[in-house]
Amino acid sequence: MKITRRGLLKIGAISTSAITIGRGFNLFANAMELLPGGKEVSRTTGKFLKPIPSTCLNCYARCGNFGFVAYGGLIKIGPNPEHPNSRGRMCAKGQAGVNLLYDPDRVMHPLKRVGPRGEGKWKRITWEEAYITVVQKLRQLKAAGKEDEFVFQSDRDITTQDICRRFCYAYGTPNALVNHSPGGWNKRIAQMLTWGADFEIPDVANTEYILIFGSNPFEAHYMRTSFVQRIVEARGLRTEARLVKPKARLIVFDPRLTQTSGRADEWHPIKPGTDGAVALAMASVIMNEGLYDREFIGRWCNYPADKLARYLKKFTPEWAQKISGVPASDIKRIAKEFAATNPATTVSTGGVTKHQNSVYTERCVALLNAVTGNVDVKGGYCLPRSYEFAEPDPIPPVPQRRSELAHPVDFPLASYEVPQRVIPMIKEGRAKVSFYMTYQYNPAYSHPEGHEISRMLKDEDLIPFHVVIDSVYSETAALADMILPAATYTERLELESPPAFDMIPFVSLRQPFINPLGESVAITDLLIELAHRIGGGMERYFNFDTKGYLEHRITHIDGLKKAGGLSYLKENGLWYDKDAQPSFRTYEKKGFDTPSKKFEIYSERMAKYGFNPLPTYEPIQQHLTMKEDELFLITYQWSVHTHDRTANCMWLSEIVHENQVFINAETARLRGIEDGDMVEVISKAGSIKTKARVVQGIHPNVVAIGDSCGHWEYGRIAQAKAFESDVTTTKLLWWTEKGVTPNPIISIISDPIGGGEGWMDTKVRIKKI
Amino acid sequence: MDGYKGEDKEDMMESTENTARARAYEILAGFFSNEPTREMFDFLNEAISCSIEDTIEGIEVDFATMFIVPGNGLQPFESLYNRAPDEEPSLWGKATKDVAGFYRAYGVHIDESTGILPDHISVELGFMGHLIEREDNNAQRRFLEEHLLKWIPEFCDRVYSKANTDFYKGVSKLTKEFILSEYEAIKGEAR
Ligand code: SF4
Repeated sequence: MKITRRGLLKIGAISTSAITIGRGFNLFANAMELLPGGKEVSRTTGKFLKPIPSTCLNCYARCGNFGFVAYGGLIKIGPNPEHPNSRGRMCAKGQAGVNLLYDPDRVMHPLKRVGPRGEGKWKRITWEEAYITVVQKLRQLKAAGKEDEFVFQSDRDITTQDICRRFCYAYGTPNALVNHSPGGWNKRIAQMLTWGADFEIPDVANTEYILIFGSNPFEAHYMRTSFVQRIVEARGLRTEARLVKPKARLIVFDPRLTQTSGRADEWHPIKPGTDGAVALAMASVIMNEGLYDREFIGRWCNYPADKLARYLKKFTPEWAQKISGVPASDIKRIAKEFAATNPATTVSTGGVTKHQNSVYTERCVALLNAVTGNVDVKGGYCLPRSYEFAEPDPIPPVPQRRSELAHPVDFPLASYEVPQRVIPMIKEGRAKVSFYMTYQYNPAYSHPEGHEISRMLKDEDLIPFHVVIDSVYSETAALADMILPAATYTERLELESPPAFDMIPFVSLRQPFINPLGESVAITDLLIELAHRIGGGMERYFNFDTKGYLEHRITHIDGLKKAGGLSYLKENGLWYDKDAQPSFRTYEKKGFDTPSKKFEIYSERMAKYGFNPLPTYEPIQQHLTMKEDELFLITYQWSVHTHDRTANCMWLSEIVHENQVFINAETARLRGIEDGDMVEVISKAGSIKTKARVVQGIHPNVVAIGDSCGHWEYGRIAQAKAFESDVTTTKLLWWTEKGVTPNPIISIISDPIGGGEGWMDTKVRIKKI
Repeated sequence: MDGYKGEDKEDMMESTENTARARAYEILAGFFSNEPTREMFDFLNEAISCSIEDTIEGIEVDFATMFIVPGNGLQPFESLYNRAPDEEPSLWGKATKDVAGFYRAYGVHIDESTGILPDHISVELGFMGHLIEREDNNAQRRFLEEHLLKWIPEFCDRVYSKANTDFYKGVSKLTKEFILSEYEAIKGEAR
């Protein structure tokens, strides 16, 4: 095509107005509007910016934050000191929400695939076209009575899962695979079976003794900043009634010398997956030496103390030592200390719940709190306190169709989908999917055997139509048929009620700091729009806009209603009952939310499906066939990254962008590996190459690789590609290593009870290359 | 132009020239904001009998690959290119704020509901067209010097080398040449 300046001016002269060049969305036509009189605004006033109170969502902790906006741009995110949980603290990820919003590689327009799936050829389409395509497909399925072939899956979404579920049910599919819970599936199931809550809130600020199994709250715990600041508080100078209280003891069982282990009074490098044995042995000591809380067991547990003592007898500290490597004398001593110190609490997360024996182990750990009477007492192991949000009427009924994906028969107690199995189950032919819609979900990268998952996602016979809703061009989005640009959490309006550490539940608002960039749309708005377009009766369940929906959700909270409801929240960011006093032993009112209304040491539901109804230790199968040169591979989370959403955040990836494999010095020496050597880590599922980091602070039979690195899509920062496009030739992106992800060499293995992934149960060999 | 009462012939000529320039900027803006439609093709063919041999789909894919699909390095925002040595690559960077300030100082307001960033190449080119309509030569010169020239020629070079279609090779070449010629012209005038 050839046009010269003259030619262009000629066109300019003969066209009476700017020619309409685009279709539908015309950026320029909408872009400008003259203000009458031309308002002048100084570019350098330096006046104070008004903070907009909102709620972070770069992890589940959901801290209170403030957004500072100047000239239409978000310039900074800071902490909200008034927030009862986070109290003015905020982690690096929270501040880097700005990066997520202004990601230079952000998806900002709807895209449609052209050419083969995964080839990377796209065409921009209008929202109108996107809606028409999606609606047409969904209507066709509905007309054919195949609503259940529409599957919606999201990950790590606790905020909008209600409206996603509502959308699915109103449409008629039971396949709303959106049931994320902090701490993961195994934790949730173990906890539900035991005392009817999703997870525990250890009241660490007020405790005297913190016993940690497989958790690293100084770097990663589902309540993050809110949690760790209270441990720090308990470990510092505390006063009560003008007396200085001794600092809480901190005992850590973890194969790695983590930041938490390093700050503890004692660190015990335990063999992975054996925490249950140690906890059982401790319970055995407590029961058999008569150190238990008679009253609590007698009144609130469903298993008599004498029977329990007898049952536990065989789990001696010596037995546990053989399994875990923790000296029997330490087990005995810690058990006695734990029983003698009141209040005390345990903390257990990934190290316990990312194994195949997680549900059993988690129940053993919970048992320690029950036998010592620390359940829901001040400074103890507490039930989460938060508000439930209401669903506006009419509420769509749960479709009665049986769904293998939503309730797999082989996991009768999992109560929801088993997320990492969904795509493999489709492959196995256990469910037929015609339309797969995913929201902020990236299994191609974040799931075990991710490369296999990628292959399945590429298969158009298996998944004929896949729509990805996301703000990043993830590994999964790259394999989709259509990508719809989603608003990030700094552009959305949502309600939250995270569990309250002060034990007074509160409501916290997330509000947009700015309008969604480009053509991004918030998920709630998107689903409401879709429901109305699909119609056929579905729209009556969506008789609201997002604001109206949220207003409805809080009408049952009287105090908030009186204070002004949503407008109060918009102004203040959060609300709680200022006159409320924290109350404990809340189970005394109505009992626990279990069939027996008690803390179920004995689980009838587990017995029914042939599982051991009592807390027990189940060895990890792979461990039993361990060969001489094999090691356990465990994963961990970096404090500055989420599992898979922050890799393209400049501020975070500058801190952590590569992950070496941590290996014990002696283990390394035997293999001729030195610090910094390139090594190959080989498992049954595959192999990866990375650098060795030789350290003393890790169990000799264990190697560890972190999450979050090694993306092959996700943007240029995630891939450590310098921005060559830069005119001033800066190289701010100074690093060239993007790290590896361990996921491809981790096999899909689930806990048979909880269904959660056994992330830490892979055997590997490691050799220098 | 409706209702224009020229004082003398020279004024009239200049005004026509300016209208043409303003329109030219708007047309260039359009090239980067949307994929061209069939009508646009026909128009270009008719107006200056340029023949476009690419297919529409080829052009659409080229457009999306370069400017829309993340990770290809050609997102058309000034702040990703015109950066200080210590500024990290980010949307809504320093250049964006500068440009936004510039618009504000000239009474131009970007409709926030569109979600469009002020430093998108189309908005900048369109704004230049607006300055021409206002006949504010100083502002034109400043905007060219402080913004358009700072990144668009280089950006166009990159588009030129990355484009798979003749269409965008042509568009990028034209845009670069036009901007450079504009600067030559304005520099001469604004002495
Ligand atoms: S811990 Fe960090 S990422 Fe998580 S909610 Fe708080 S500030 Fe956000």
